[in-house]
Amino acid sequence: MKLKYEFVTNEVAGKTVAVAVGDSLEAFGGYIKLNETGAFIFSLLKNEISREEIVNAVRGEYEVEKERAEEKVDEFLAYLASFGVI
Amino acid sequence: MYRIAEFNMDFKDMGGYLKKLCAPFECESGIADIEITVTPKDLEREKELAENPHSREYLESVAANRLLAEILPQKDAFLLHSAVFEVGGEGVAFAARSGTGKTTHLLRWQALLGDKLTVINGDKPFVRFFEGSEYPFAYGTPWKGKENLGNTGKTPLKHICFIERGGENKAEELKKDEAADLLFSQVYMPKNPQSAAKTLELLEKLLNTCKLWKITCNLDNDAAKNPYKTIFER
Repeated sequence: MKLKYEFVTNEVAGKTVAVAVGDSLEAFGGYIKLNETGAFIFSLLKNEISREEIVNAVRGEYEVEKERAEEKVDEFLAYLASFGVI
Repeated sequence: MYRIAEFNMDFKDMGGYLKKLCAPFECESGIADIEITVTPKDLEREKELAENPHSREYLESVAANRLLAEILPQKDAFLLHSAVFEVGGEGVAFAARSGTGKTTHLLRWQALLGDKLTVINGDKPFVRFFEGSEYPFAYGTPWKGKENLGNTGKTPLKHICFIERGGENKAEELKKDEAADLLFSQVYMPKNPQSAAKTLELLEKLLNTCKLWKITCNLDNDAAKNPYKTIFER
């Protein structure tokens, strides 16, 4: 999977904020607020990547159990899917 | 050549309507900091985006504003959809979703304060940061909204107020994260990735610099009294 749109991100008011740019701005006009883990996963999704690869990357980055990492990843992917961006 | 937000701006082959809007900003010719050329493609895009049919000259003025808003962040400035005015040397921006009545509320403040209040721009002021300056400055621009409120001046922007309709008239201070959510919808977000990233940086600076308020107001004649007291007579 991969982000459908092109985004730029930056810290605003203590959260990472992603806004769509280029032609993506018209297709997805809003912004998405990301927590720390979310921002990490979001950055991975700029390139094609599988759920398993994301889970492994999260385990490596945050040293968490596989189950916990899967839970976090699924929760975040559902959040992104609710915006229609993956 | 025009001097807008302390930039020298050159608009190529501009039509009569844009010339008229920009006339108060005319300056002696010099080296342009920003050059704007509206292309037929830009006009076509504005035509598609417009809700109602407009003249070519009107669409050119909208396109010129959009092209500027795309470039400004790379020069530490951005377009804030708001009405900006100055009271006692302090700049105040009223931001609200369209139709909320920010201009009506501004007129209530004007009635309360008379000559003590100067409107800088009623619709599309530019906000610009300078190295070493404590506050950003908000500037009058040629795009003054349908009420045609504004001048060619500037003010140090110290308060951002988000206006909401409500039963009573009051101002409450907002936390940065609360204000950020309201701010995003009032800022021109560029298509250009560098400009968009820079806009987010500038918004973070704005949230750290200005006092942030939510004003709840109704349409009463004295609707400005309580919010003004809370913000200025602390």
